[in-house]
Amino acid sequence: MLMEWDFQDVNCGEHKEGSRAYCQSDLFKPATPLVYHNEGNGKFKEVSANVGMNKPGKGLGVAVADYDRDGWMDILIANDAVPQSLFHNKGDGTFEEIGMISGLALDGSGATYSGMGVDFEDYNNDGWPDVVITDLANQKYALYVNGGDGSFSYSATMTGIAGATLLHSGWGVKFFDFDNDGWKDIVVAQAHVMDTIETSEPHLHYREPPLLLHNVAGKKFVDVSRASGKAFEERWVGRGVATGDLNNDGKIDVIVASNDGPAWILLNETPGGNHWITLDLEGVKSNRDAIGANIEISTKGGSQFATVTTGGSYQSSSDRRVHFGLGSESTVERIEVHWPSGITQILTNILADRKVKIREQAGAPK
Amino acid sequence: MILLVLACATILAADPSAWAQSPATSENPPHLRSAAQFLVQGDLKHAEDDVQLVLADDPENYRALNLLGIIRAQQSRREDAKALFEKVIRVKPQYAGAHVSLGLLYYEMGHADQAISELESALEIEPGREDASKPLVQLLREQARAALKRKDLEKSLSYLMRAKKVASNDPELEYEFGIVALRMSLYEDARLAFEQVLTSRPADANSIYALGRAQMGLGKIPATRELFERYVQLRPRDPTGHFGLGLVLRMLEMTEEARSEFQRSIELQPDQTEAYVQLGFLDLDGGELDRSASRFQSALERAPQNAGALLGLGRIRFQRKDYSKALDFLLAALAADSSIREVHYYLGLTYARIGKSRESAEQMEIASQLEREDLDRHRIILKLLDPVDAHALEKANP
Repeated sequence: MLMEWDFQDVNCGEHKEGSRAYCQSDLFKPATPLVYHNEGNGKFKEVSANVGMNKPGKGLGVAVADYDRDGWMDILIANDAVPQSLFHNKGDGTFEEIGMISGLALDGSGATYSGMGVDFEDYNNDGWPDVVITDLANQKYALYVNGGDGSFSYSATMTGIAGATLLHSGWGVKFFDFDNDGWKDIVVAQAHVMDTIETSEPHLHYREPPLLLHNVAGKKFVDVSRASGKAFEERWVGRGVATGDLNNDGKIDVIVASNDGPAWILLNETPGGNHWITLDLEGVKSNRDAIGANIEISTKGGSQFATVTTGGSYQSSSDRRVHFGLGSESTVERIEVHWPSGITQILTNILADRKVKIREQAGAPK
Repeated sequence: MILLVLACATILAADPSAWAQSPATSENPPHLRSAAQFLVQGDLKHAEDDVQLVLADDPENYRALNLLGIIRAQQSRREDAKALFEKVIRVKPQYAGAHVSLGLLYYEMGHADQAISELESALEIEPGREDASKPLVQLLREQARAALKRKDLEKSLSYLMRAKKVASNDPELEYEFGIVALRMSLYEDARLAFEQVLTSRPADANSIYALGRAQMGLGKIPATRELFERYVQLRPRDPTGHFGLGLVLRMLEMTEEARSEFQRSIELQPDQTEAYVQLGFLDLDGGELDRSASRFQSALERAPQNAGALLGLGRIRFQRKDYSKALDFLLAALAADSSIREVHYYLGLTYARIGKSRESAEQMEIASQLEREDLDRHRIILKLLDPVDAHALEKANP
């Protein structure tokens, strides 16, 4: 991103000579995303204009998912102070930006906000990937429910996220099922962007603890940070968040990166006997990491959906394996994998509480 | 003419040594003091007799000429008075008394700008003169109110700023200034003004409420909440206070508390509209679409063109994917008030859903433009500058 500023600009911090000044992001000139196509010969080529992604923005977080379930991965970019961008994959090697008309670009009142971190997962288990985007204090983190018809509805207030986040600034964010009850919760790395914020707004804070929001049956999110251990009382300058099962115990752990500070590892020690399953996909015809594979699992308790990705959040990369909490269900009746190659692979009656390696089967039907 | 006479009395009271105790000089003969005393008593004849005695010896005595001018003004011989005062100023430009006299004469004659100019000149020469400062402040406030009536907010504010330079600790003046600044969205200036008022009048309910409005404009929502809560405690039966508090609580996402305040506002003033609209939006945000619609309908029964209620009904229809009806309501909202960004935004979304991409893009662009204008308004230097300083800033930053 380009930025032009000087001490005489009244909008750049305190504009005192010799003082580092923070300039409002809406003064930055936007820049287009960069898309590097793997040419297959050890080289990459920048093709954003060719693929229709040369729409200027102020991009921070990036997440991918097939939001319309047409078999093609779409790209969501969280933008700072300009509308959020949703690039719909047209399936012909090009994208079209549809953030505005999809209802995902702005908040519920039609206002822009400082989008920073983003994640793109189905939190209400209806089969359609939803979106969470973090932003600054006084803006409320955004939650969009995918309507399944190409549209998104801003739902931050109705789900309780708005109230829980009004006075917080969020960066890295991930949907993840911390208690294995079958509903994806949310974790956020938090901190304000200005280290002097408390002098002008005493109710806001530069250093903040991370935030843990518990998903209540896909309807509401409740702040359970205070009840989740001392780590959620620590105040950091949080930025990145990555999730993954670091010790392979079936509970997803969290890593928080901080500015001018160490990375913090939050080991998940949530008690309880909820079941789980972790799927480790390996592509053969599809890319080896299976990035972009869509997975649906079904138990007696219902269905869940996920996309294989390491992306999302903010300046972070998460565990590629796909983890599902199963609640009280000890068997997964069906696992359906839709590979990027077009192959669909089905597994049935898998016992819970294990890691399952799934290798793309060439002979499986498309 | 009472102002001029009062000026005379002020001179006598404020500076007796100059008149009675200092040695008689050619500038200050004894007859002048007696003339001034006669004048204060309303005895114009004897006052003029004494003045003419002085002028017979010293036709250019500026104090005597000034007093004669006051006498002429009392005699409603305004043009003669004016000529005399102007003569004194030519002869003795640094004699503040003549500027005061001429300023007060202009005030009486209804020439406000000239009166202000003369009184300000007097204060430049002698900053402490109450016979100049008090009428000047009064005049500036009158002009400010007149400008406010004409909806010339900038002019009003300018007059009040000049008055504040003269009377920096006047709570009434600060309050007036704060109200105009608030109307101009100069929230920081308004905040400072109302805080100043509250230092001398900590329980002034109007100032507490106004400070709350200023803090709300500055986005200091928790502070706003405290202020509105204080106001509601002082005036529990004021529906406006409960409504304002409801707005703040809604902004803080304290839904049930906000609901309670709006309902209280309605109890106190059942025939209002806006609290119903706010309740409607609370229900809409909470997914209670039927109840939300009922609230908006209640608002429309009272005010059929209420843009907020029409917008709310439009959003409900949009959420229910009834795009045709959504369009009807949103277009009605637009007709009622085209400045609401949210109306344009939801129109844009609705048009997109029914395949009208050009219309959708147009409405989205308008919504974006309205947001940019709103941001620009808040970005404007909030600390008010003197016109002189503003000009200097413009020159430095073309």
